[in-house]
Amino acid sequence: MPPGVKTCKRNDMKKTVAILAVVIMSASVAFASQVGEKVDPKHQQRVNDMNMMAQGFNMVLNGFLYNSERNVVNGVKLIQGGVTNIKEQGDLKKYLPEDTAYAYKFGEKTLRRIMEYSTEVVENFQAKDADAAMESGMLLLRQCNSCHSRVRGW
Amino acid sequence: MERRDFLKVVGTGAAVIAIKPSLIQQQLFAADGSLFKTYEKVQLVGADGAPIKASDLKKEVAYVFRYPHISTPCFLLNLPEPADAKATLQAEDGTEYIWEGAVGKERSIVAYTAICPHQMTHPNKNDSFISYVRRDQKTMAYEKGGVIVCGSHLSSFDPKSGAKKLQGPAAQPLASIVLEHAADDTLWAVAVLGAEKFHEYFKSFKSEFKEEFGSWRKAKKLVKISAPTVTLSEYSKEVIQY
Repeated sequence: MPPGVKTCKRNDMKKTVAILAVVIMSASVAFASQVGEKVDPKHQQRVNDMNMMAQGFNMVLNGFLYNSERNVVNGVKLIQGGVTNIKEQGDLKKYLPEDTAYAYKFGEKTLRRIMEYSTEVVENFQAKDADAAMESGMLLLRQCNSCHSRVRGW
Repeated sequence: MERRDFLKVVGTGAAVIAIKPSLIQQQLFAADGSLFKTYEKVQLVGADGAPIKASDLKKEVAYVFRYPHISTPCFLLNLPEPADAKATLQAEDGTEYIWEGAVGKERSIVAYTAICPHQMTHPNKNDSFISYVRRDQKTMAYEKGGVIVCGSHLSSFDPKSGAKKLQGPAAQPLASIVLEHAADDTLWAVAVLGAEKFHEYFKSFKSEFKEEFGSWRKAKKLVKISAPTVTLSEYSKEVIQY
């Protein structure tokens, strides 16, 4: 193959990659700015708090599976940290989505139960009562689902 | 065991049962599909200890007493009209049973466990998310009032018809408390009809029971002799209705 042709192909490839990179970056920036415009800070706060609690619950499950007290304790800390974050937002009525804000008292009760059951998880695990710890863990999960089914409507 | 000892045991047992028949507690699955468990016959009394008279019960006011365990709340209701004479109900597992109406002069007095079979929502001293919604009130859980509503996930139950589920995620009716209306107008709780979920209830609220009774196991103690009965608004600081 003549050397000129090879060079030409390399140049084409560079151009293509450069164009693709520009398109992807532009699309990303455009999408990011759209997302930035639409995201409601309240919604973002809820997403962050829920993620934190979900991460905590995963750690608790991991602690059960690997008999790791550290994971159980740290997982519960995250879950309870999420509850504390929610409470620190003040009025739960304003924290919840507008269409389900009326159920704020139910939400408050759920938060209390989450604190109770998550505390029980640690107590039971530290007392080496794995069955009781898992039972409390399931009750904890039920509280999460209970609120989601009411507030998120599923 | 020697023959004489055996006879002594049998004789003592028979004597105890003759003196106190309610000691025979059993769960009966009758041929007709009924699901029925007797407990000690307990008189409903006011907060002052005086017997409750059926004719003194206010219409459409939810009263609460605890039966058959010292921690299991029940609703006592005087409905605005006579309840159905009979209702065929179905437990979550498909078992059918017959609820045979109300008591009282007008056949309008009914009692049910105040524990939602969905996720065990129940009244406690702080709040109640389960309550009776009067006929003139509105609820999100049903098209009209005159129903028992669990505000947690909006299940509704028909008190006129054995607390049959009307709407919502609950998979079965509220269990009924079988009442006896004595000739002197007093009311007595004698049994539980339907698939109660006491076992799940006890497991779910250990902290709450520990706080009130010292230990969740003590919460299983059975009610004896009488059951103080108060209005729901006296029983719980706050009644939340949706």
